[in-house]
Order: sequence, then structure tokens, then C-alpha cells
Amino acid sequence: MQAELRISASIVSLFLAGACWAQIEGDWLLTLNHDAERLGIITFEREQGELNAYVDGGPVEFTLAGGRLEMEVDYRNAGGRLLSRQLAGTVDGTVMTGTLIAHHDGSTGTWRAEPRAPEAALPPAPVDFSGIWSRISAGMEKVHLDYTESARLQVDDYSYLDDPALRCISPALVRISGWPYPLEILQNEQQLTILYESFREVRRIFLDGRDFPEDLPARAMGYSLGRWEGSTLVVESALLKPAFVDQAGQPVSENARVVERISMSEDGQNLRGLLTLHDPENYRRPIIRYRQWRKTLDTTILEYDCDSYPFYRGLEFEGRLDEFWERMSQRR
Amino acid sequence: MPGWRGSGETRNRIVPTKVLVHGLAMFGLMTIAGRAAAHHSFAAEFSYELFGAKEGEVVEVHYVNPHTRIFVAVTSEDGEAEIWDAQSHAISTLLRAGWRRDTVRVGDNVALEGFLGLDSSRKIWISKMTLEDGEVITISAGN
Repeated sequence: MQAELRISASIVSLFLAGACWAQIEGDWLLTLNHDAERLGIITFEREQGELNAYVDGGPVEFTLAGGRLEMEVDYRNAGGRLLSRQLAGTVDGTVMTGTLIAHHDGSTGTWRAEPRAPEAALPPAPVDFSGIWSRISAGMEKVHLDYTESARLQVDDYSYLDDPALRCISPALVRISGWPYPLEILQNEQQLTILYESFREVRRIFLDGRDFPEDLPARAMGYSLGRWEGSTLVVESALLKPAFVDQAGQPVSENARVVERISMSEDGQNLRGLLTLHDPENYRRPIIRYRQWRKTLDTTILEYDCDSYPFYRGLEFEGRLDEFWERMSQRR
Repeated sequence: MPGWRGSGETRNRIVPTKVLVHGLAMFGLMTIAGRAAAHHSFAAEFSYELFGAKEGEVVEVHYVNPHTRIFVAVTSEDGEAEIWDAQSHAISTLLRAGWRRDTVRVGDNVALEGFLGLDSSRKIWISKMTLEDGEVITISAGN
């Protein structure tokens, strides 16, 4: 009799868990207010009878009980320090809200998530993004991602000596598009051009309906095609040189594709860019980087005067130049 | 190396009591984001806990991106000549802090405070630099 009761209880709790999971499965748009407003995507997914959670494509530890959610989300600060925020709050099916705490300094903030609406098919309604924009948020900056085995080995072996930026080599599309230096957008009907202060990079996003070329060499910023879905510019990029997602050395392969959805606030003062990296050689699921910029017309785009000499000179003084040469197989 | 200057026993002075105070102060400054942000390698090269001071003669100045560096000749407590690799942000951030191309020149004597390199490497990430004429340049860590 007791055994039957236990089984019944298990079935009931499984049913309740299933109902709860069904409510929470899918993508949620996360807005977090900590040191800045940060946007991201939380995904809950049922896999082999278990509910898993991801933030911006990277796995996170979480507990969900009685409508109460707690999540531990790792990130890197601007200097590359690996840190973590604990998000705790409630889930009511249509909204999640809560508070957060950063473990390293005890600072606190708030967060909110709402179900992410599917992209509606809208007729083109171009808007003018022209102007100088300064980054105000790099997003969640999730570090641990859902690596394939070969990518994990590369990340484990990564050293800052492998960072191409220190040699004045462009850090490439995924990374440089989120750097803290301003960019300028020039736009006409056929082309949107982005001039980055960082590494003097230039992107030509073709809006004229062409296809990707077949015979061009890969390049750091790739080859970009854009189209308008309503007032959102959707940019697809391919022909990318091997690179890294950020300073932690997460690889980007030459077969990767990047999709960016860029939209402007109604007052024309803010841009949001949701970048998705599709790179199945390295990641089991797409990686998200969700950045924000503010229009800053009084900003001057400076010359990016880059010189690799002091990097090598520093290694020489430190006695690590040989180590650097030995790592050149890791070169990007 | 001839011609290096220092200032006697204050040279090469590491100030452990300042670690906590400055460490906390820097965390406050870290919230100043935007252009003041570093974007690579700090955590791979520098300690967040070890804060120290170095003083000596500037032997090389590289006012460049991605990071500005000056190499400083410091005399160690043992009287040995050492070259210290003093690093800071990209030029656009330094301009806002008042560090221009000609602010520091080869041959100048500077006193530096900042986060020290990992694994006893002779590196310092500059958070405060006192020039020969007493001018003080303070740079938010952003790291």
C-alpha cells in the first residue's frame, strides 16, 4: 500500500514537473541591471528526460522548485577575470523576475526575463542607422560555452600569448564588433558601411540582394549580406578567418556563420545588436552576444595606432620569447 | 646599465598594506565602463590582489595600441638592475586621463603604483603615475 502511494506521488510529482517544464521551455529574453543594462537569452531545453538551462548558448547550473529559480551565470569582466553572478527569482509562466548578486564584490542588481517572441515575417521598412555609436553594454559575456570536444581542447590549451590583438592582428568580427571603442555607420540603399575605431576595421554590408561569392579568400570581418525584416537589419556573414570569440580563446572556425539582428530605438538614440554565432565544429548550439550602443555624435573616431613591437619586447625582457615562438601553431 | 636613476631606498618598494585599500578603490572605479575598459589579457598577466609600487628611469616609451607600455629600469632591494614592463590602456583611454604622447619620455624618472604581474613577473599595470615634476596621472583600472 505504501509502495503504491509512493509510486502515485512520484507520478504526480513527475506530472507537475512536466507541466512546470512545459511552461518554462524555450527562449527567454533576459534583461539584467548590474553595472550596466545587459541583454541575453536564457534557453530551457528538455534533453533525455532532464531540463537543461543555457545563457547565450553556454550551460548554466540552476535549480527550479515551486516557481523559484536560482541560476549561476559565469562571465568575464573587461580585464578578462572569470566571475559569476547568482540570479535568484520567481517564475510565473509569462515572466521571471529577481535579484542578482556578484560573488566577487557583493554588488547587487535586478533581472527580468520574458518569453522571446518568434521573429515575425515583416516587409522591409529600412531605417537610418547613420552616425557615431559608442558601446554601452557588451551583454552577458558568458565564458563557458557548449563546446565540442576539439573546441574544449583548444580552450584548455589557450594562452594570452595566442591573442592576435597583442600582435596588432585584427581580433575579427565576433570579438571586435563588441569592443568598447566607437564605430561609425554610413548608409545608403545598397550598402551599410561600419567603420570601427578598433583596428581601423571596415565592414561593407551589402543590401543589394547579392549572394556570397565563391572565390574570395576569408577575412577577419567576413563577407556580409544584409536585408531588412521590418525595421530590423538582419546581417549574415561568412568567409570568416579562424579567430576567437573573446579573450578566453573560444575558437571560431572558418566555416562559421554569423547572424546579427540590429535594431534602433524609436528615438534613434540606441542600437541593439543580437549576434548569433553558428559554428557546429566548435559549439553544440549557437553562441549569443547581445550588445548595445548609444549615439554619440560628439565623439571623435581616433586613429588606431597599433604597434606589436612592445609586446615582443616585453616577452624578451620576461624571457618568454621562445615560448611564444613554440606556440605559433595556435596562431590566428 | 649606466645612467639609470632612482631615489634610494624608496625604490622598488612594495606596499602590502595598500593592497586592500587600493584593491577596493579600484573595484569602485571598475564600474566606469565604456572607453575606459581594457579588453584583454589583464587577468592573464596581472594579479587582482597584489598591488605595489615601483620607481625608476624610463628606458623605452611605446605610446601605442592595443596597450601603451613603458619599460622602466628599477634597482631591486639586492641592488640588481631590473627592467619592469609597465602597461596601461589604449591611447584613447589615456588621452582622457591626461596622458599624452609627450607626457612620459625616455630618461624621465617616474613612480608607479599598480597591480603587479602574476608569477613574480616584472610587470605592473599602472593605476597611478607620478612624474618628475610632481604631476600625478591617475587611470581607472577598468579591469
